Amino acid sequence: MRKKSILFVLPAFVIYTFLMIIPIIGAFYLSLTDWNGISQAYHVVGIKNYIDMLSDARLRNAIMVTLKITLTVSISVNVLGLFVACLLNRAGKMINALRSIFFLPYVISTVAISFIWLSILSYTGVLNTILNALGMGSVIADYIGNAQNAIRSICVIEIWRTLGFHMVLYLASIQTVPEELYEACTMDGGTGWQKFRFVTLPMIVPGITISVIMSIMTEMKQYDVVKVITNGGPGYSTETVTYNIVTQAFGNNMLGYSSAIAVFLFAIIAVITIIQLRVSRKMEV
Amino acid sequence: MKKRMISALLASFMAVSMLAGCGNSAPAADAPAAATEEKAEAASDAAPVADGEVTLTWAVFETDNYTAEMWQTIIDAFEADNPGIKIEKVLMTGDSRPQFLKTMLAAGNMPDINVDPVDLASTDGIYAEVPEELLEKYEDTAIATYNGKHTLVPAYKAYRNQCYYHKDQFAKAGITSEPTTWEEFVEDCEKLKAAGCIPLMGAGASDIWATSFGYWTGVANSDIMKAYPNFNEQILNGELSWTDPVIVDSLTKWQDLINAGYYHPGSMSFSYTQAQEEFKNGATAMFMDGAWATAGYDAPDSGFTTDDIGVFVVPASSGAKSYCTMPQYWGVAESCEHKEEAFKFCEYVLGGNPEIYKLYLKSDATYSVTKEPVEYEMGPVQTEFADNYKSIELVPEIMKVVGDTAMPSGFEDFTCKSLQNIFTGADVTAELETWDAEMKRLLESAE
Repeated sequence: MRKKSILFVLPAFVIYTFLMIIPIIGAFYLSLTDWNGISQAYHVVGIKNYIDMLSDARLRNAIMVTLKITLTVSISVNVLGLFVACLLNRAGKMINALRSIFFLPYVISTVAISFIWLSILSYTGVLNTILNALGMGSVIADYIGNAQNAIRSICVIEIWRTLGFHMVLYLASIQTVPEELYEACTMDGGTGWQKFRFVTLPMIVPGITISVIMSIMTEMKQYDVVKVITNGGPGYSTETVTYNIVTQAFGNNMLGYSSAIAVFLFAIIAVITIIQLRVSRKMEV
Repeated sequence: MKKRMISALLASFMAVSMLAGCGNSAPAADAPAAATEEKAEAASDAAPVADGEVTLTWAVFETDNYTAEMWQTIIDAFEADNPGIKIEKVLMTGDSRPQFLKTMLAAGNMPDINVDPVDLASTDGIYAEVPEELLEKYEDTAIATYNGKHTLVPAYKAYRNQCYYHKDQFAKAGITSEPTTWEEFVEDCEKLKAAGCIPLMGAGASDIWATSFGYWTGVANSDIMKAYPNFNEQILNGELSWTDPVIVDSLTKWQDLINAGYYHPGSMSFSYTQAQEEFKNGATAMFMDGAWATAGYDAPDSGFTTDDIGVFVVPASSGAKSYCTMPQYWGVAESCEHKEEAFKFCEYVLGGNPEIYKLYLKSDATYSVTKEPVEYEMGPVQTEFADNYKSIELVPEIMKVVGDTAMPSGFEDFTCKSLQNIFTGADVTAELETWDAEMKRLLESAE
């Protein structure tokens, strides 16, 4: 029986090893070299790349930007996702249609979405045109070309884009909560809020864990929206860690250094995920 | 708990695997031979030979000027005149052609012939040496040398940018002639603003290069080259700093224009195309734009005549009477299995067939670099553009110099971003200090 089960696992193990584990080990190795990604010669430089990272102000900025986006988007999509899921759970026959509508942005190409938002947020775009038409010309702003607004715009786009996905995760979790628990709560005189606080929330902790981890991972790797909307600008104000990795690798010909940053990002995600898992474990019933 | 730790690690693996996919696997320690073989294999995949027919891949990019039809006309003409050689177009997508080519190289799919290969040319072994008999056809000043090697085929020279303006807005502001000094230029900006016009258009958003285009590539470049004719050499060997007073002063004057409200408030949110379109629609009176824009204004269906649009060289505050030019090149990949045919194609397009060369040059309003000049009929705006250069000296564009005094790879993009910082209010000297540090870092990593 044990041998048979190993055979079942083998294809996935082989594919995963060749397509993921080996390249990752390769990235670890590259992070210890000064390879430029082009020439055939390179040197093993030990931990020099990691030491260089400590004095890289542009990377520090990218880490801060990534953390801001991750924090803002993760909190927003999880709170809003849960809220919308609770509402949708009571939508009756409309549930499927509404679920599809909310999920739609997530299945559209991110690049396509970014171009749509670009036409909305540009200084002479849809939003400012509407504000102008409503006689609100004084509140017109530059949503992309101003550093503070640019990062907010990225967050708004990401929240809009991923909300549907997290809403579906929460909806699926909510629908697994046994109806009897709500009935029991009703019998005990529980209010709507108390049902949510003492029945729904503890029962969907595994769903919360998945949703939070997925949102953190997605935003920690944020690249495409930033690339299309601002290209990391103005200046470096919206450069994320992943954007920095690509720039170092293919712009500056520093693939060894960029691999070190990728490994660093890996470590951060691992730590955050472990902390998140420990916290959510304590919350599970 | 163990399961949870494993799942956490797997989640992180998934995240980093996205990044691992960005690069090629590392070359083996004794890589040169193995990698060369790999490249040859990749090249043979990319250039199939059937029944004596050679197929060459040609990396190009498309713009409003360099259209798919134009590239196809070139391919059709060459194939008709050279039976047995087929050209397969590879479209360089994205906003960075160097990054596109580096990705193709890393994936082992380097196109045989590359348009715009300069960024990769400084790395030995990427491009094949150009036959001397081909190089002899081009102006000596257009020949690029890297470590004593000639690996680039001169394609054309582009006169960079001037300031296009709407004549009706100048008239509305009471401006009767084009400015010839910096003071006059600033006065004209003030007059335009007072007349209710926005004087200048800028660009940014995802087109970071467009922020530097205009003032930095035009005015500041002139100021710097006037003060230091061998600037690239001096800055690269450490004799000069980016915080040199000439550079600080020039960029501070640019920031003064921005602070005075002469630029369109949405400049940083516009891509280059948007900015150009806004200018054409009359959103601003002036736009420092490339020579290539003349092709758009001179097109029969453009809706513009010289009664509407004028163009002048923005006077430098230092009084420098120079403007920059940029050479452009093609390269044949070292991995190309049919180099003879590839160079034959380069020769054919870049001067060998004058009609095709004319088509290529005229499309983007560029100029020939062949010893036997190839000229074409220019439209009125382009004629005015070219005439403006007659009385002034042409100098190299600092960031586009090729060969041994070229800036390190990635530095131009860095400076463009820094210029965006300056545009949005950063301290000029503090920003320029980062240029020194970044250039040093990139030069060290390239050693």
